Amino acid sequence: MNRVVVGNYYLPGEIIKDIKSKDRETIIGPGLCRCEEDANCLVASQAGYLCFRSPNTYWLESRNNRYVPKKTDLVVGIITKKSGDTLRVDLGSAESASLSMLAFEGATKKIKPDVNIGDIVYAKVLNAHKEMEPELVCIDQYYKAGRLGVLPNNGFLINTNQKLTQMLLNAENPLLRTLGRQFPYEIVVGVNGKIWFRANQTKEMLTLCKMFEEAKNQSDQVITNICRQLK
Amino acid sequence: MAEQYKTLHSAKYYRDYLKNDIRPDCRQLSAFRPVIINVDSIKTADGSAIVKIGRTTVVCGIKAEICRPKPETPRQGFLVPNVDLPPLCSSKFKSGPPSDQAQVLTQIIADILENSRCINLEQLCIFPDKIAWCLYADIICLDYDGSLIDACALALISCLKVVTLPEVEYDPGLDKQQVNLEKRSPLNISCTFVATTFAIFDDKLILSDPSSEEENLSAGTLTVVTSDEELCYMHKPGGSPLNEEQITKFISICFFKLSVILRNIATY
Amino acid sequence: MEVDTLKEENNIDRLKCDLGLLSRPDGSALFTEGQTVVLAALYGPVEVKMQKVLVEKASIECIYKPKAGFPCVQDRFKESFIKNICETSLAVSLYPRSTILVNIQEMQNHGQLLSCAINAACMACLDSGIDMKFLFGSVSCFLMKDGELSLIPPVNESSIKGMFVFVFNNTKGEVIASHTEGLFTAEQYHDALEGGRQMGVAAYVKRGTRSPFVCHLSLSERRGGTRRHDNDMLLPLRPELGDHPGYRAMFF
Repeated sequence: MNRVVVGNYYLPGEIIKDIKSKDRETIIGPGLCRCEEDANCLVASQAGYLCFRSPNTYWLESRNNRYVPKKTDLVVGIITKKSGDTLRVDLGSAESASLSMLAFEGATKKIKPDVNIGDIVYAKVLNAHKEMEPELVCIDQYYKAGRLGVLPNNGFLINTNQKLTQMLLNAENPLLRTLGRQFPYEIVVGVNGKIWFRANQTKEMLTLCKMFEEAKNQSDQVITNICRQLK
Repeated sequence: MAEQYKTLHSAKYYRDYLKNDIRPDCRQLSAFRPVIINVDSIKTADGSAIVKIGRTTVVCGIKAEICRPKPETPRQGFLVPNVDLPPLCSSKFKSGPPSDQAQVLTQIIADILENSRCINLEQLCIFPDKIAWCLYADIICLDYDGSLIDACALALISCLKVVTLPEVEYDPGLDKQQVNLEKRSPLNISCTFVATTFAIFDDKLILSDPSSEEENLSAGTLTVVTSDEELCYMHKPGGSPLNEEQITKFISICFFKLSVILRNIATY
Repeated sequence: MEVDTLKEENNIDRLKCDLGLLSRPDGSALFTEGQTVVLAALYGPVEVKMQKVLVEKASIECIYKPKAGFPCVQDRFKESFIKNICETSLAVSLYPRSTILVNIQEMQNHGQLLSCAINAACMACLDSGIDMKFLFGSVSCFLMKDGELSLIPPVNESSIKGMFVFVFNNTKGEVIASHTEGLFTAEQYHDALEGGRQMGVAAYVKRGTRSPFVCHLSLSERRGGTRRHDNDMLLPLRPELGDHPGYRAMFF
């Protein structure tokens, strides 16, 4: 994988000049859009640091507070409504997502999964387009559930921001590993800013809860330092 | 065929016309629609005016009531404008409490009135701290076809110019008032304001006096209110960004329009 | 460090901004301009009401709450003004069939309420990370009876002849909105426009001489998403979550 280069800080409306392209193509990610006046320029639409991965990929590392569903995202949601064969799932985005009863492992027209309103599901975004409502599935392309599906009832769900969940999902982040050495727990992190977890004791659950609350306001470096002290 | 094309691609339909420097209603880009002002046609009001700008029709009626001045301004009467956009004038408006647009328009008209200082409220006072005139200026839109601020402002100023108030005799000792309906006198209006609205189409084309269709399609409007030699309102609520030269051009057009309108108003 | 940048320009030191004070909204900002303070909060994009749904873009709703009493017709005007500006600057076409809610709460009024509310709305949009076409900044300019222009509201209110509120964008510094009070000439309008652009907002919307509150934002980002600011910021409104001794005890 190519190295990611972090560049300058940009504000919405500012023009990013002299972008690199390959075969007259440039891939742009979130926070950027094409400049209408000059083909060799981009316009920032969010505030953040410009990131670049060679040969031709650009995106803006910004803080996004409201989740906007993207295809193939792994998310945690709450079932809010059940109508016929479809379930409505709240992801914290503008529109609730739909999840078919048949999109669970082993589900058929006759054998339906046991899902109720208020249940928490770990699912994958199958379809997401701004013009359509997002669609979720709890199976992979081989019709296997893998880790997806309804989460047990004895867990706890917290809403945080997307920045924290991205940080936790980073394989190099030591927080979850360090905590795991203290006590066993189970955790599901959805990129939509919802985290589900469970531990053996209530005290441990509260510790987790407060850790995440604390980590939300700290930089990566501070967390790494603290984790080092814990070891 | 043109009708279908207009419904399906209304923006493109306009663009095709504007490319040839003409608007679908046969106007030049900077041309204004004909203005008709009719005053004093409502006999039950103390003053009234009907204004038509193209198809936009607005009626303004002023009704005077006697009331007590506010303690903080004992020497001033009141002039309360109110703009009503009934469902009659356009399908955009529903019946019920005043819509947001009507409230915003009321505020704009009140602002213009205050900024222009065309009427000294002290002339509405009959006896300080005891009785004063309260003028209710009700502006009702009958047909909504764009440039509503222009029509409302014009209706209001024409109406104010023809208002006559009966003479009131007040005896502070007995706290009695005597209204002499026969003897009426006009108000002293110190200046005339004229509002001019422009629409900005596709970020660069400027349409003067836009119709409601043009207002919907364009990316923002600008209203300039001129009063004699000075400006009293520059209202641009968002929309396409403008630079200085464009604004200068607008102001000069507005002063020109003011002179034309003034000449017309002077005739009655 | 913020204090030094604040003092750089005479008029800029009157501007302060604190981002992300509130935990529930997606973006929030407390904006201070001299003695005027406005709090803005943005939710969005959220689910849309059936009667307000727009198929091609997001509908924007602005709610303005005065310091005391119920919102009146004047506040409706402010709402519609701010709503129109947000509609122009936000990339509304990216969020069809949704609503963006902008809440404005007046905290203190000392003459520049409208421009302060507009700036607060812009900062709240920026804080929420919603896609924007450009940033906007507003400045109030006061015209005195003796013909002088000032960006600072005068102590004596009776010496004001007129007031201008301009809203500029940060791409070309063009006027996206304008509102005026009082009588003035075309020259005075131009002078105010030029003055407002040069002295007031330009420093904040133009790149290079970035103003303190945008600096603040970038600094806070650099600190890795910390949304708390240094103690030199103004009101004790800030939730002191991380500094609570209980949390520290828990943590170590």
